[in-house]
Amino acid sequence: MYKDLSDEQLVEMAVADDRDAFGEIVRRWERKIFALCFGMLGREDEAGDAAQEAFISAYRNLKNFRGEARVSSWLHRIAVNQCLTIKRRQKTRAEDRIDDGDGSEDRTFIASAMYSPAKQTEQAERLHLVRQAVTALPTDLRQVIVMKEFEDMTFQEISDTLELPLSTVKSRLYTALKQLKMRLERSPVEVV
Amino acid sequence: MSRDETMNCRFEQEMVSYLYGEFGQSERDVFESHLETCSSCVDQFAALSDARFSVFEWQREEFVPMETPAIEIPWNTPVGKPAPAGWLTGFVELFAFVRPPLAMAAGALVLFGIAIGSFVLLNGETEVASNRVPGVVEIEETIADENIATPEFAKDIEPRETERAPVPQAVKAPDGPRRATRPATTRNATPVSRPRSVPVLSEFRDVEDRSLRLADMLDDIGG
Repeated sequence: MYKDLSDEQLVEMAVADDRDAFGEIVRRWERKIFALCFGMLGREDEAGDAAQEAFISAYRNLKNFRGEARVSSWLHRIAVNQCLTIKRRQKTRAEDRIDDGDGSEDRTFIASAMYSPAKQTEQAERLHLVRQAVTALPTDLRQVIVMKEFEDMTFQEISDTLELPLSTVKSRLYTALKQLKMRLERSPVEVV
Repeated sequence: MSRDETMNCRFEQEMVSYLYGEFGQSERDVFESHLETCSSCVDQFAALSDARFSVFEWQREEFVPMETPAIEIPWNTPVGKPAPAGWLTGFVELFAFVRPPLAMAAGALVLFGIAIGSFVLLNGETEVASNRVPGVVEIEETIADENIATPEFAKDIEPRETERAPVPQAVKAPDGPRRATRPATTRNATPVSRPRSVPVLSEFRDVEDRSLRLADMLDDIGG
């Protein structure tokens, strides 16, 4: 029933105290919000906490959503603000766990509710799509993304290896991620 | 932020640096302050984060569990110096810039030209050699005109048989094709560069004989 409704309609129903409607919003956007938080914080455990806090904040501020922007943009904004708050809290505590400029980040994996056994099939299908999308990238874009993700090389190291300017390496990675995004959106994974 | 501003947002390209944690502290603060005010960059950053996380998951769940393949090096294989390049190798390397098909065509043309030249030279020499077969003497035959009457002073002269060249008989040249040759006693032997075959006309002899017989008859009449 809720799958056929738009995000705006679900928000309206959630404002009317329909918790299942808000549950559908969480189900639709939890992975993307989690990925955004991971991109901001660099750690999966912290990203999981940040995503959790973001959705709680969104639920509490449903009535403040006026429909001027898309629901996704609204959720993004809330998640970014949540992550920035966490970062400032960490800074003031002098417990910055993200190293400055060396590109190394802790990739500790902590299983969260989003990766429960019930979503194994969905995950396997997503991985298959990602593999196809990366393989379909042009060679010059694919090599940069593989060097960054598989070999954990810094932009400077990639620049030296490929004998390309630093700006070109960043530009190619940016283009590669955008193309990946487009390819993955064309073949969405059916959310169970 | 207006649409025009977002389209030209200078932070767009820098998102990847922030995404992969390669910003210095000050650059990070600037970018985060910008995120608080630019909705377009927030949406863009979210899209990049989603794509990046998908790749990260794929790498972690499919690549990381893979066992590193064992690399085997053939230590027992002797490693020696490469063989010195011979003259043929150097010659071939001269044409390394030419693609194999072109090189083959050029080589075939050269060989063909050499073959044609050899054939022409051989044929020319053979022709010259055959024209100068030793012992062969060419003479210029003077054939009497049957219409010219025998002069008076000649009438007293004993007719004698005109020395005619004997019928040339084909004599096999020592190192050449078969050609007609003449005996050494033939008069007016004049070597000529170009052979002229002497016509062997039995009819000619008959005509001459006829005129001689007439002369004989006139002599008889004259007394």
